[in-house]
Amino acid sequence: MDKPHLVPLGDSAAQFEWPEDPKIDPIGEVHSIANRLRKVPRDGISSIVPAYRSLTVHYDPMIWSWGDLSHWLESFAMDSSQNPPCMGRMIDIPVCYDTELGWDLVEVANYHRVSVEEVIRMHCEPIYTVAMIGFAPGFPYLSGLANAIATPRKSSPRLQVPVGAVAIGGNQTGIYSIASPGGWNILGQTPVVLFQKDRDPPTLLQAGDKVRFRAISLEDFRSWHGAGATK
Amino acid sequence: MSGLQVLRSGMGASIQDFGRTDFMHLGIARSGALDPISHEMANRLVGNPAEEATIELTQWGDLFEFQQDTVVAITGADLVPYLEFNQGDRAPMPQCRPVLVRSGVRLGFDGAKEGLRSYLAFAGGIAVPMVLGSRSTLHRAGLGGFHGRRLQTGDRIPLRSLGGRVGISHEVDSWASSCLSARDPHWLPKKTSCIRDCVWSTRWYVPTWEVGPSPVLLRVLLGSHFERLNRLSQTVFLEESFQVTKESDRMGVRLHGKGLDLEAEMELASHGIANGTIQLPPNGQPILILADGAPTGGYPRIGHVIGADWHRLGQLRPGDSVRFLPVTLEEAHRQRRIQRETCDALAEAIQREWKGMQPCNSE
Repeated sequence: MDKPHLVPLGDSAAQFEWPEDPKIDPIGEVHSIANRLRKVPRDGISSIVPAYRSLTVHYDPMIWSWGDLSHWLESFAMDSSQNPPCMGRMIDIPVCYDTELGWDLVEVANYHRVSVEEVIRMHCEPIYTVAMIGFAPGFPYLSGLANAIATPRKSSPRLQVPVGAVAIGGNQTGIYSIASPGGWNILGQTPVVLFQKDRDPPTLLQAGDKVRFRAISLEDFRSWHGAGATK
Repeated sequence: MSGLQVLRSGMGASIQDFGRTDFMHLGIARSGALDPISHEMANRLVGNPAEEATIELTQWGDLFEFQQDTVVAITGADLVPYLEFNQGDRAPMPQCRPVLVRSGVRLGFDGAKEGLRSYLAFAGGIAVPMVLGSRSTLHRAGLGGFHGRRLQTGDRIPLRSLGGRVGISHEVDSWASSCLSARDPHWLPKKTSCIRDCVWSTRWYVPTWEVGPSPVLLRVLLGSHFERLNRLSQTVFLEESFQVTKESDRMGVRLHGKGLDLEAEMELASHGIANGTIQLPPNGQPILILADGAPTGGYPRIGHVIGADWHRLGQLRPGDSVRFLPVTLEEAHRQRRIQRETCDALAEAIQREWKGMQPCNSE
């Protein structure tokens, strides 16, 4: 596999970049380097941000020179054979795919000329990987979506997508962790809270976790918060 | 009654400190004061550590009433602050120096002549809880500050009280109590001016940080995708100026200028970005990412404003123009170091002034 290239991202972050080549999927290596870096906490290193084809390390330039930082970081990326495969947690996420909550479910089904049931089945089938968290606090970008239901973003984004909306944007699927504007196609909604500021960690998911969607009824969705409030 | 009452909210005031840097991998923006130098100086003036929370004011319109005696300082852009008294008359509010105000005095802002944001610090800081290691407001996520949002009319912001409490610098506290107990000007502490029977200030101040004349020169490191701009656009980016548009907020500054074009279209996977990153969306008009911007993005990165110029970004207002000047990473780090030394020297000077406020003239 091509080695990542380390470049400055401004004067207080460094970024490993992998080539923008669809034939290469470096996500396993990204997570593995991120995990190894996190095991050796250093002064002056704040966030370590994994993404599809990059890993960003934010640093304090009062503490780190570029020379020292780049040598230290490159030593982590040098030998990828040393990178153990990344063992994320497996997390089940209940989703109500009722058309009352899945605002774009029918549209997605029509776009692919399949039934709504078929879309739901294909969305629940895979085990997804949280490639990265971004866009909003706790918003997971999930990879592993079946190509058969990959759907382009809506031509005009909604001004308000409800919190918990489970949606498809291109070949990615994700969950709106806070209410926000958004252009992805909404298949359903989860009653599970993805971002809670007083929880430690504040987000349910982290990059590298595995996710499985489980369909629940509208009744279960509505009664969830009563029953699951102790969680 | 105590605290600071918001009688009228203006163009968007929020509680900020240096933000939270440890949660970007969870999609949580850094937040924090957009002009961190002015924020720091406001705190230093009232004897606080640099990291206490201040109120970041934007442009104009806020009106506050102090409901307790407190020592405050205003720094940053000149928003033409004024004091309003019970009789309804007004006096200019001194800036860049400590000011002791009594309960009942009101503080308003007529509007920026230059720059956009100013910082209001209180001795002892603002008594809102830390959320994820910071008191900064990230209103998009309902996080931090005052109930996770910008200040609204009717809010009462909790402050720490004077009078020998923990969290307030000893010098500031005893200066305040000497002023409050002085029966006539002769009894006032050294280097103190009495503005009214309910407002005192020090005779010393610190100079404000200037933003610089328009076009504001912003030093940049070229980004990974600068080379992907076509020749003409590379030249335009480095030689022409860009205007700050009205569609700018704490997430980012949207610029308008001659459109920039890539050599060929790029489809990028989402990636980490940073404060000061200059993104190029498909419309060819650059966006400067600020503290409330998401930690990841998907547009090409043509440059990054260096840390030593971030405070200027926070003072850009619609209609201002900016120009970019490329520097090396070593130069950027050197400028950051010089800036740090300057701030530390000012902080020490302020501390010396405070020590010199004692004892009273009276002896």
